[in-house]
Amino acid sequence: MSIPITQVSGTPRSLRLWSFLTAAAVAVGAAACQDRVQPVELGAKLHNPLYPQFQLTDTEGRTFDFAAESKGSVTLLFFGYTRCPDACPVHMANIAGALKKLPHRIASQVQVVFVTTDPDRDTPERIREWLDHFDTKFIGLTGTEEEIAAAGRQVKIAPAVKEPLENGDYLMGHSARVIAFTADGAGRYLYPFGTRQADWAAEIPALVSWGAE
Amino acid sequence: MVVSWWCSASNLAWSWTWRPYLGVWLFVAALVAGYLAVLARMGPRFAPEKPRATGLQLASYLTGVAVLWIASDWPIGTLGSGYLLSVHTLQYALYCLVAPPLLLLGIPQWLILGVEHAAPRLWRVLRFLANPLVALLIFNVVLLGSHTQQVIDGIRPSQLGSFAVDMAWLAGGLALWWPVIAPVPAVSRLSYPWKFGYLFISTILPTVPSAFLVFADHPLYALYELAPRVNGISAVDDQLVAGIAMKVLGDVIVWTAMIVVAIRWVRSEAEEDRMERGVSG
Repeated sequence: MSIPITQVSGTPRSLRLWSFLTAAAVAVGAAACQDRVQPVELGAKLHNPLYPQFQLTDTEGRTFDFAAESKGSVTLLFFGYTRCPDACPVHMANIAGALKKLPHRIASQVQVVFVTTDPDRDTPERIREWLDHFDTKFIGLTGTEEEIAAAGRQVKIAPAVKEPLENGDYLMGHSARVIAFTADGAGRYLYPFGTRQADWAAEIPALVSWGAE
Repeated sequence: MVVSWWCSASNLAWSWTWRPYLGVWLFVAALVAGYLAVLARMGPRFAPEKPRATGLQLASYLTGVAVLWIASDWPIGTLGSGYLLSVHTLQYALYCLVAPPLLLLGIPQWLILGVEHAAPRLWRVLRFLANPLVALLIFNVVLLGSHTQQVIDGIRPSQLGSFAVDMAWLAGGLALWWPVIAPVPAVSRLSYPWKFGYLFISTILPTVPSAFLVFADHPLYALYELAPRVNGISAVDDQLVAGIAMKVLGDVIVWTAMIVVAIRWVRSEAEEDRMERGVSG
């Protein structure tokens, strides 16, 4: 096979091509940086601590008096539902993951309380089964819609709203914040969606030692 | 139905409902059309005899494109770019380790020789990239850089960022395999023992990100930690699988290539022995 010796002098064209590619790469990089995972503000302190007084029913059918039960240990309170596709399982998994990695003397001073916002579908059995995926010690609470809404109001959480889907099913729009109660039973800090396992691993010991200094 | 340009993170709950990605289809079409156009345009000058690409070369290139398509489109592209780190690792393996050698094996020798005459600057670039130290540097920079938190949490979540990461993987993979598969000896002069050693060395550094993923106390990347869960797979389990997959998949693919190199090495030695015996006899 004979190969032509003619060389194509490509300097200006190749220069233009490289300039274009470089500019395109810079543009892609700059545009890509616009949309990033936003950091969240962790442990926003409540200026007026919360002292809710509500009673709901746990997954064993017993009455759970929140004010009495939340004293003596750190309580992480979350309102959600078991069919939640995003925030609820992520929050539960992240708290559970952090607790598993913390020393027992710290983890044993923390209780997690999950209140369903979807009592129609979240039976006590379903709540128990769902929570057990994360940690068998997590407490699940339910009640009537009115009881749950009233409990939510006491901790400044807006009532959940049904969001119908095309297939006839529905999602529940609800607050994605975890409220942290210190051992004196006061709700003092809010943790939004976006709080990561590593964040919980740092925050929980501080919550446990709150007031000890 | 919303048509997106490229797979990226979304706040949508995962479902097995198909999602269309226009950019992926254009990318795949451009790769095929570009290959055929180059063969048609340069073929008459540098390869007058037909066929301009053997059936094996054509099959290899198209398989490489198909691998890229699978890695980029729903569901692997969607899961890997926004839901599961383990699938992200599978994407990395397909982009860096599987598709590039197939694409390179699809390039006819005359095409590279033609580049020497038609575009001498590009020829010099190709020879420079065939330097194993340069290739290893590019591959490892891409590998480590694309697995930093800044890139995965800062760039990967957007469509353009996800596209940029995918293209960086492809470039890193092409760089890695070029010294081994370059179809012209004048480009890459690596002997079989050197190719074998080069491939072995390439498996060392990926152990670092793999180990970080396996032994981390908590999920490393917010993108995958805070993503809607898929089939109840926890972020920690997902990360563990990703770390193991990164090492195992990478090693299996590269060691397979090393076995091929070793077989060719043995065959070439045997051939030389036979020729020597033939000459002396």
